[in-house]
Amino acid sequence: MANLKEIRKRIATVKNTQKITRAMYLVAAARLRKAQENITRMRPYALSTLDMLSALAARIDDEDTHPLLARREEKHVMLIALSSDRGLAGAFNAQLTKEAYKQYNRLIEDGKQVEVVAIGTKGRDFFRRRSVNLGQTFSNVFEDLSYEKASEIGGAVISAYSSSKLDAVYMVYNEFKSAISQQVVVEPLLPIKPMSPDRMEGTADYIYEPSQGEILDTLLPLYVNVEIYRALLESVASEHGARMTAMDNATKNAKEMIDSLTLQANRARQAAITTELTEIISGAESLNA
Amino acid sequence: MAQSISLEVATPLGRALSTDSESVQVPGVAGEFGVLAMHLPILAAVKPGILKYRQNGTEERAAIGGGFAEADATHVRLITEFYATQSDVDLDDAKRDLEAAQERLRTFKGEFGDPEHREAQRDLDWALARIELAS
Repeated sequence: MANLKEIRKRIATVKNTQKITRAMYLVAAARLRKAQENITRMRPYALSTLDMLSALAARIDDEDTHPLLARREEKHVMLIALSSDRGLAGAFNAQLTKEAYKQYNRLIEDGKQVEVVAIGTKGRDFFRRRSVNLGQTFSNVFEDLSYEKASEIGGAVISAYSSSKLDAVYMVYNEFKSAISQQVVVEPLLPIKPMSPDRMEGTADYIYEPSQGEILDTLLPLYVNVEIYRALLESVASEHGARMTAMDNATKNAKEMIDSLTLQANRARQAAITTELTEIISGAESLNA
Repeated sequence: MAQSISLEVATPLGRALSTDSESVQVPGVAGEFGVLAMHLPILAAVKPGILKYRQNGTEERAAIGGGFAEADATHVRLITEFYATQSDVDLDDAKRDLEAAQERLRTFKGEFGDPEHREAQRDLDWALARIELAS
């Protein structure tokens, strides 16, 4: 049996670890609350944008009206993978990179040219270690997430798509379900799909101010940026949720470990006392004899 | 009483306004336009300016940023970057933004209509809208 001193040292170490995991749990919980709030606040804007765009798209018969609506044969595909900058978030990054890599290989097998855009250092490092055509990478996006950062990414995507260097863009990210559950989703971003045009048939056309073309020119990029921003927000909330759960589990595990170590320490202490007593008694008896 | 139309303003920071109104005036890119009930469907680009809407005979005002407005017979829906009521406006802040935007426009070397130029112009309009609302 390990000696008492060693066990006590281990207990102290585990206690320190537990302190850290508990602090990380609390921080993640606080950040999660904020991230959740951001999503809820963003939703009406994103939904209205989508509504307007689908209402507009339903009134367009010709897909060539705008480059962002153009459908080409999918040859060059961009895969945007949203991971995180920091680890210790359970399976958050592993799940994401696994799914993204699977998609990548599937597209490659189909004979397409794929470029991966990694947002977050964890995903970037994962793809760097593999023979993947890695395009632009973005890091430190999540720390201080803003709409401007989303439009920076959106701008890069839009210009590549408009110049026909890309035929399709997909986003892979963790969708926020609840604090304890996240789900990796693959979502097409471009080309923008006009939503159920049949439903809108017979509706009067809009009066456009200034013109349909000019509105498309600004509304379509706005939609792309908003979608990216929404995905970023979902990912951030998922990350904090995943970290919160992981750190809660770690704290619980640390507690279990401390309990079992304490039991061991008590046994060792008792054994030591028994040995000592036996020694004293036998010593005393040998004097009596 | 005139028929009312529902008015909704959404910004990235949340739903800013959701109310019923008798008439709405929106600062469109191609000029201000008014919407009453039974308006024909319209989709318009919006520039930063003052949104006016009439409720029970009194006119309410709010500063809005750039975005889009969609309206038909029963509703007006606006998506915009910013939204501020008179009590939200920090006049000093707006004035500082105004000066910064003016400076950017003055020193601008590129072509008129460049994204950078448009952005400066938008910031300028947004600052002006807030100042107009506050004073």
